Amino acid sequence: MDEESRILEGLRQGEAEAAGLLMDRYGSDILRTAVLLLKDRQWAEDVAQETFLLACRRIHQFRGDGSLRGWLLRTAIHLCRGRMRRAAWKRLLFNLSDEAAEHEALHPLPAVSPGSTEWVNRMTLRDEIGKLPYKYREVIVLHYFQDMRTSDIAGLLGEPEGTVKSRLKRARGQLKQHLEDGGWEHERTIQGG
Amino acid sequence: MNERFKEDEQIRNELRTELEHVVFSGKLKQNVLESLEPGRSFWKKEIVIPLPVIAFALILIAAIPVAGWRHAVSLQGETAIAERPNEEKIVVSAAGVFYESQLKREGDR
Repeated sequence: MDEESRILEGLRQGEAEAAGLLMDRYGSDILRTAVLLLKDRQWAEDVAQETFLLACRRIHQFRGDGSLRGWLLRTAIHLCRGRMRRAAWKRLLFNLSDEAAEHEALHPLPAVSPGSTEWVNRMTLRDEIGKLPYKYREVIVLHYFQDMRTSDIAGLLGEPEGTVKSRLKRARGQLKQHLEDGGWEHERTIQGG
Repeated sequence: MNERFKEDEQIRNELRTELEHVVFSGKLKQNVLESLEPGRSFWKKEIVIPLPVIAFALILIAAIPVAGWRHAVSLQGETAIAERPNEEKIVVSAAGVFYESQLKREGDR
């Protein structure tokens, strides 16, 4: 019996130790995915915890037709989408501004010209991904961070593979443009030797 | 194709490096384990009330006084009609002006 099967068995029997092992194994992976999707550490931590709570409580719903990691990832993505939807409704109903934008407005960084060394040093790939629309961000994160193929992404998101392919193509194009505008690629190539 | 693969790998590596410090801490793990404890006190449990349920409850709370008020108004109207005294008919004759009931009483005698 491999470790995943042991964890599954333990979870089905309600063992706390199995829940601990599950979090040790996939916790950081789920949290990092949520951080990339939500752009907010606090929300990401909430989503990651909720993902494991739901997984432990609903383990009987896991049919075993895919990996446990994929099932956790699907739950996390579903929760992230819910968060984003609620945030969008809140902004719409209560006329609130984007929290990240508000923070940036209150604590502006000193202006630097785009493409300069300082600008590149300050720029992170994570931030650039965060600037993409949510539907693009989702496929980019799954493709690059989770190293998933388009067919797997399509299965996970429940969307046709063609849709995912074209979305990924557009998302990649936008990301590449952002990075090239900032000279990111050039800078990293120099740093990498 | 090879160039794109190189770019993709570069992005993957960069993302991994940037997110290295983001870890699912022991505190987060403890929170989850505490929430899973079977004998957890009711007051410590986190409950989620779906939005439609909240909306329904609010509508119900608002509807009760409105319905009560409407019912009270309709009852008041009925009572007013019920309590209205029988209007006296006035009979005008050559002998004068009389109430109908007065003439009836006189006739009975």
